[in-house]
Amino acid sequence: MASEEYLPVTLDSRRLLIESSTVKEILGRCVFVRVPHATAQVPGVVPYGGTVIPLIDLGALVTEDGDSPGEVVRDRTLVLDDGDLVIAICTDKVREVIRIETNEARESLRPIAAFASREFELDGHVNYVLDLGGLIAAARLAGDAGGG
Amino acid sequence: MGGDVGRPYLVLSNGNDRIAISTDAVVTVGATGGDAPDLSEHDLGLSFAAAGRFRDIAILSDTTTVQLRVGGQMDVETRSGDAYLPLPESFFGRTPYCALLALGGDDFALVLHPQRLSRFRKQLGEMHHLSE
Repeated sequence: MASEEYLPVTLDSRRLLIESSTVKEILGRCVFVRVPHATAQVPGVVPYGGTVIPLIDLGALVTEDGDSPGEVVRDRTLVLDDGDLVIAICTDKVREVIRIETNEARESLRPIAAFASREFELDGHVNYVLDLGGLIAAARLAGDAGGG
Repeated sequence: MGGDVGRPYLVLSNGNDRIAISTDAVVTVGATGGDAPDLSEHDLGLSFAAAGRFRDIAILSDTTTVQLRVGGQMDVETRSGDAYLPLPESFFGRTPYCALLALGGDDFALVLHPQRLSRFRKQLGEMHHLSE
């Protein structure tokens, strides 16, 4: 039976699963350089490995009005690679990688659906699988629509 | 306005944020730029104003000259960076900034790009015009 590995993370009260193959590195507290006039969804950059990578604020992307819930300091910075682009996201907690049978997944019908194509129920909680490609596309779209 | 390491930049600091302007784009520091329009806090997204005497920094913004009024107590110095780190164009192409200049340790300055600044001011002006 097919299974996949995921990195479980929490963001406020949400539980997210990130495909472990996309995780390059887990860093400490989220420290970034704010870029004025950038969007709420991509408020700045994280210096990383001699370059800078965009920080995508999941909190801003999953709220309906697109605003981040204030200047929240997150304890963990994840560096993710979707194959084309390396980005950073900030989360509150990161747990150890888990393996899940893929047939346990169901289509996500929640407001977070734009960034989570599937969800799993684990320990009585809904866990959304982060759609990294969709997340990056949405962040770029937000920049096109409201940047500047 | 390239980003060679070792190229001198005028670095302005307000204690929290820093911006760097290539000295190629700086016309004068300390004197007024004549009738050049002022760059506002809204243009930069940052404030460099402070109590006391002002210094005016004239910047060549594309083909026109604009002037940035910096509070007399603000830190203004010429520095070269340890590294020039371009911002990802697809996310930050609309901002007036094009890169981070690494200044050692965890210190970075946002590199103000003259052509982008000009474009940004033009867009702001058009938005202002449309809202009237």
